[in-house]
Amino acid sequence: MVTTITDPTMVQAMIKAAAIVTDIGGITSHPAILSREMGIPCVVNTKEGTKLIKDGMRLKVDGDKGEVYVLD
Amino acid sequence: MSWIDGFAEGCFRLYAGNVMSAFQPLDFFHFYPLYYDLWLSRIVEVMDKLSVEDKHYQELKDLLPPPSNLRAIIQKLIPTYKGLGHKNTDEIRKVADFIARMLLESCPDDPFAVHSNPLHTQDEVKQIVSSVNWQSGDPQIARNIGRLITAAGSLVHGLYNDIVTDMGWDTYGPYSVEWEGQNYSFLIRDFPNLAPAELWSTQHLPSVKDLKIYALYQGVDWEIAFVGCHTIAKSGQPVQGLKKFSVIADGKTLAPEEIVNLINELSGKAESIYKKIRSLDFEELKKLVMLQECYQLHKLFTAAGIEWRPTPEMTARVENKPLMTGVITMGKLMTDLNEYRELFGINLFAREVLGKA
Repeated sequence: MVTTITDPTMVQAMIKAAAIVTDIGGITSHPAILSREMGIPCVVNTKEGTKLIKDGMRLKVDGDKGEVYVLD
Repeated sequence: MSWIDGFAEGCFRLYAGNVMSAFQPLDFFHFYPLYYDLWLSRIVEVMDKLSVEDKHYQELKDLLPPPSNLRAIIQKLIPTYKGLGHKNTDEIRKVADFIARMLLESCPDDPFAVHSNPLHTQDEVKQIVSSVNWQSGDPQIARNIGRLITAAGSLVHGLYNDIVTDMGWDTYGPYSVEWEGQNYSFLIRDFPNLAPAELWSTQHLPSVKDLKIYALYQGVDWEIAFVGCHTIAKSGQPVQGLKKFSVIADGKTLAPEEIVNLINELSGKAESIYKKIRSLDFEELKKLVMLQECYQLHKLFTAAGIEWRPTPEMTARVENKPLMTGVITMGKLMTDLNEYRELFGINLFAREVLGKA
């Protein structure tokens, strides 16, 4: 799931997501808190994730390093 | 009192690496100063009427919101002082000192949640662990517990807004416990009121009011930090580390399939309530946020026989008024404690309100 910032209107998509990437936010922001609870990787504050990542791209999201890789 | 440095440390970790514009659905810190002086006067009236300064936390705990919410109130008072134009010093100091004392008395080992949120005594923890009807955890259950927390947390985010969230969601621990010969790290996720009928009509509220999630982990080094309610796994894998759990909704222990049903219900309510919030115009949004803010202390006000809802004068202060500007820096990424203390107004607050050099 790639978005500017998550909010509760996206919660049903969030609980199905394999990873979350957002343009803004920090360690205590909505996506970061909830991805930790669900045990899925999350990278916040990418600034331009929604600009650079297009629908259908396969990604690897490394929440520990805070990095997102395009696989193809 | 010299609580401000400890509070600054916990509060800085809340904002470190974050920007203020991430907080939703309103620019709160440029809204509160429009009316906060009037609310503060009412809080002081309530405090005097209940003689709270003569009372220990244990005598008042049933009238107060959870500890993380108390911390959130302080972190709003600090920049609001700047926004109020450095006025109302005595009232702000009285309220801030009272809340800080409640935290020092309720969580003496870590009052400002720098690393933990230890509300319970060791005896209370033992009593809870021995009375819970534990079920065995596995990665699938752990993911569903995470989804349940996501659904409930997102609902709370709408019910109470981004910086009153802690009123509807706190997390306690981590506690080191022994159960049936094994050592665990114990977390309590507490959602004490998912159905505040005073704020929302019944169509927006779920069937469950009180939700508690008890979890025992092994191999996970937990921290609850950043003013509280935020769980951070410093090492280990929470999904693999969940060994025992219990989900209790309105006093009833839920089976795994009931947990899935509750995820669906709460996530649906979370979406619908936030769509409603997104549909509000600016005037409606300001009034909702003010109502949510006042609700934090509704039990204290009610105990004092004073109406907790905003007064007509408070409402008039925000009606057809734009938000303030320049109270704090919205787009600045906070990375340094000293810089944060300056930008967030903590040094000013310490100096002018608390009289601390």
